[in-house]
Amino acid sequence: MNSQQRDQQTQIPDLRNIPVDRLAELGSSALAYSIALYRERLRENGIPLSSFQARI
Amino acid sequence: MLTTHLLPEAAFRALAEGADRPDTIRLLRDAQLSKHQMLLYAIADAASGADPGPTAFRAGYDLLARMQAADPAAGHWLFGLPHLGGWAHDCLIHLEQGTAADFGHFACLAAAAAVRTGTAFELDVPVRGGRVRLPGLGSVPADGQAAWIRLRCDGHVLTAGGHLVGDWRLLVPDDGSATAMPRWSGTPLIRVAAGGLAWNVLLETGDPYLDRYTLPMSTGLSADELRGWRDRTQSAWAVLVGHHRWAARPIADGISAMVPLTPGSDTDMVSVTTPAAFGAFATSWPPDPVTMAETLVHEFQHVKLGGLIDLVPLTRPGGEKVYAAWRQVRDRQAACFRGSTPTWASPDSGVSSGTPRPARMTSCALRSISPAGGPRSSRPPRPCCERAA
Repeated sequence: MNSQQRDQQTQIPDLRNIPVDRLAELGSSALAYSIALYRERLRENGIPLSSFQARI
Repeated sequence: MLTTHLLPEAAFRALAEGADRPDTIRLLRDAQLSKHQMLLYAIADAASGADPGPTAFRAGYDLLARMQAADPAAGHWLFGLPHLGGWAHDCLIHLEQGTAADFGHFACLAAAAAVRTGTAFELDVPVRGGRVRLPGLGSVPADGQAAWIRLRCDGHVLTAGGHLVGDWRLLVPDDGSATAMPRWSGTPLIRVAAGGLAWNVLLETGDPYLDRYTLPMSTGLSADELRGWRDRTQSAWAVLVGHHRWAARPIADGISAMVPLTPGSDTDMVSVTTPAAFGAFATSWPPDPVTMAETLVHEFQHVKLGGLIDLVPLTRPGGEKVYAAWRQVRDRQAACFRGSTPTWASPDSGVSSGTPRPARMTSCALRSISPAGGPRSSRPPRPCCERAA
């Protein structure tokens, strides 16, 4: 198995080279799906805080 | 065709083993650029109407588009700011709840990106507490009681409400070396270096969207307090680089903002992260350099895990609640997993002594999550508490 085959697709679309005024052209696409997925996660979990507390 | 960020197996393994490499941290940071742009687009969809907030948002959005047209990488600095992440998540939560989102703040973020590059612009931005915040850079005083003020940059100087602020090249964070400017307060920037390894981190004491931790942000630090933070951070950095260089290097690549917290009592030491603000962590005053070094290592594990979970889900949604060793109540598996991270991804010998030895993912922390029984220990060595903001 080569390294390419072991690359995992993720839930974040790669928008690094797409300017914000061209995002609308992507229409109902993987972008909309990723946004819906992220918002669903936010709905379920809220914004978690990982807090470490010590008595010193 | 739209592609997604890829997560190579080698990167996943590196993260699981705590063996951070520069390309792994870069991968997480790059994904955050896309995530923040994605969230901005989602917010843009809701920023309609003629009210000042949505109007300012759209002006900021147009300014960003103009900067990206001139330089495709122009948005990278902005999308890399934890400040933007904090604000975007706040907006999304408000949109979910049907309450008023702070659309207008994006004009401040876009203006900061424009000021940083000397881009000409003219924008109305909101005034908060008598100041205009330019996240990642600093703030400008706003005279009078107006809720909005006009910011204008002609490519040479910035003016706010008609008052000259200064040459855009001087409107930078305050690393302690700059000449004071009457109408500019640079965000404190701490520059530390040891053993040839440097780290620059903002000490954020004003941004409202990074004031979302379990304790309030320490604002209005005196000159002595600020000097104390600079000295403590330098000393902690020297400890890390001197004894655990492998842990220091990725922190320099991945942490760009530190939020000082006001503790509830003199004896509490609290440190916190949130996946909403990748690249930032918060801490109360660390009592000594070793504690601060340990805090850096600990919190950075949470930061990385937040970035990883954005890429790939590591637990199934919902599911039964389980006990973790450091919790007296049952919690979701996802929360237990997040809480365990610093233990399995940090050197298990501690910062102050021993040879660096990244723990494996299958270490005691994961074994300590007990699906059926009660807590296995009521006093874990490094308790982490997970809660929703």
